[in-house]
Amino acid sequence: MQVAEVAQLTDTADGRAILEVAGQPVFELNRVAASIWNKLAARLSIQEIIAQITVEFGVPEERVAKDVARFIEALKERLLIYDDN
Amino acid sequence: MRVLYINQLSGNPERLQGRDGRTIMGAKMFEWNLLSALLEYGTYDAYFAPGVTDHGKDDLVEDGLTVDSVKRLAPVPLGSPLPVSDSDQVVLVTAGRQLDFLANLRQKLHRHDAPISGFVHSINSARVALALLQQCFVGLSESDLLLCSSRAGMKTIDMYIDEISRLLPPGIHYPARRVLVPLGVNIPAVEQDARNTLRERLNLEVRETIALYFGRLSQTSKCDLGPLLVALSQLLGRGNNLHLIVAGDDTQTKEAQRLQALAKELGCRKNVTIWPNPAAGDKHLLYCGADIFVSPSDNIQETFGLTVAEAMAYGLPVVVSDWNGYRDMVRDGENGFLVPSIFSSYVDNLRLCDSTTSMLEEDSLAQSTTIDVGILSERLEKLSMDPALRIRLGQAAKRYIESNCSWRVVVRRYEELWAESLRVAQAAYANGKTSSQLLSSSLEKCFGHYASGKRGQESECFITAEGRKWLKRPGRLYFLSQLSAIPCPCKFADMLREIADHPGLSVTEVVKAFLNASCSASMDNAHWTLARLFKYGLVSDKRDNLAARASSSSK
Repeated sequence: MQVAEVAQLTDTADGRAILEVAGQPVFELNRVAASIWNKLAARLSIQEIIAQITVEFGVPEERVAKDVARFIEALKERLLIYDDN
Repeated sequence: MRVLYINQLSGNPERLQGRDGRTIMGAKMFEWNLLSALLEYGTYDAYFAPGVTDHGKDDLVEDGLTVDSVKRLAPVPLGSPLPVSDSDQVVLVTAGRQLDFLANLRQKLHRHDAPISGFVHSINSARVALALLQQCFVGLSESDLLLCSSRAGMKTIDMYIDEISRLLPPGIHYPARRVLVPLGVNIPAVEQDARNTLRERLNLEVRETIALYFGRLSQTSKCDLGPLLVALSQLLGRGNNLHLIVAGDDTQTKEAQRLQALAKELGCRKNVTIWPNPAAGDKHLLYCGADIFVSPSDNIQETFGLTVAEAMAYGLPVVVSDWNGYRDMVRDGENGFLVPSIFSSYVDNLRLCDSTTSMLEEDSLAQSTTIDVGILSERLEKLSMDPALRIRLGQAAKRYIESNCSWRVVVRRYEELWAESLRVAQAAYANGKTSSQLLSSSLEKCFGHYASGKRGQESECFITAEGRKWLKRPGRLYFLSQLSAIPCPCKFADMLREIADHPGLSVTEVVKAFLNASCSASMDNAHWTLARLFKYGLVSDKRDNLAARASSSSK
């Protein structure tokens, strides 16, 4: 699974994470979503992402798994993540 | 559901001046205040703002709107169908006089049951008369509204329309209803210690009486403040005391220097503070700390008198010229004083005369209009010497504004008028009476000869090798998206896949398939989407052999 090359996560001066797509700021991500995005961009597997987020934010793994799945689904709907094949 | 479509959003002019020195224009202040008031007091279910983005919303909050107000703004793509059903009631609003833009939009949206509402502010220009003439041809109807802020201003608009009607053939007339609604103002909380703070800041004694002029320092669009200084010097010459503050935007004509020199020449320099370009916080301090408000407007650019209404909302007694909108608000001797205004003997020789640099004859008229200096001086003196009179007139002024010009009251009035207009528009639509543009030229007719040719409805559509590459990297399709608050390019991907799966479909068939798959898309939208795919070389009307081979080998 890989993220779209046209999308880039940037930090604003006031600390917000903005997903720029095709050179335009399009989505604002919360801290968890920004962290998942960075891990997807680093080509981590979904299991690795869930494990790391669980530790990073101290949230039960079950909830993290749901959040990660929901976020990936949202990215797919917006054509911002593709299957490798 | 009741929906308000707000044509244009702009920032807070006071903040913009602080940021980049832009001139504060009354019409721009109104645009900003209207947006704030509609979102605060409006009772509609949705407020659509074309093209507004999350970033744009942040700017609006930075400019002073509350987060809750901004949340009520819903983005809609420019010119795209509104996300509403046929039974929803839609009103299209512009803060200016651009009813023609909204008439075009209404036509495009096929919402003939949606009334249009606009405002006219400065009327002193041939451009306004020409705009009204143009609006006779754009498909306005009697359900549409042109809101005027003063009786005198509305009378001028009616005269323009009479003049225009004489030039038009029978059957063509200006159709929009003209209705008088004053501009709105916020009712402020007056700070009791501001009186001392302002005097401390100016090194004045606490007992000193202050008269305030607040407005643009511009002879060409507001008033010549020289005669006010003469009136002050006469008052001082009679042994009375008053301190005059002249404050306001001075980015246009740099009046401050001239006024300071004149005050010095008249011997009243110590009793005058010229305060160019005050910050928004200073404006509040000035209104709270002053005792009297004065505005001797002499210019036909002044239609309503927003600063006079603001001053009255702060409970200040006002001394103003007997002029246009001022006389709608000020009852002489009850909530302020009106000073007679006299046109010169040659006014009948002057004509509306815009030029690129100035309004030549309108400026000449303002320069030669008298605001009676003797009476101005006497009224200021009377108020300066009588604190009880100031309190009585000031309280009456505040009551008048609260009842007639507070934003809560004004927004309620707008909504009443829009409800009437919706009834008229819906009745006309139900009876098949829809106004349409009299002057409507197709772009193909006017510009069809610019291009080599035109793609036909029967042209075949094939995905190209480039198109297949983009389908594997569909994020690229964001580059094709139009300016939109939610620029998801899924529609491009869906159409591209349809063409890949069914090579040789005609333009008509692709459009039909697209419309079948997407209930919210319009025919124009479908054609536009396909044209964008052609434009980027992702679709071609010729079979791409390389792509075809790639396709067959992958199968």
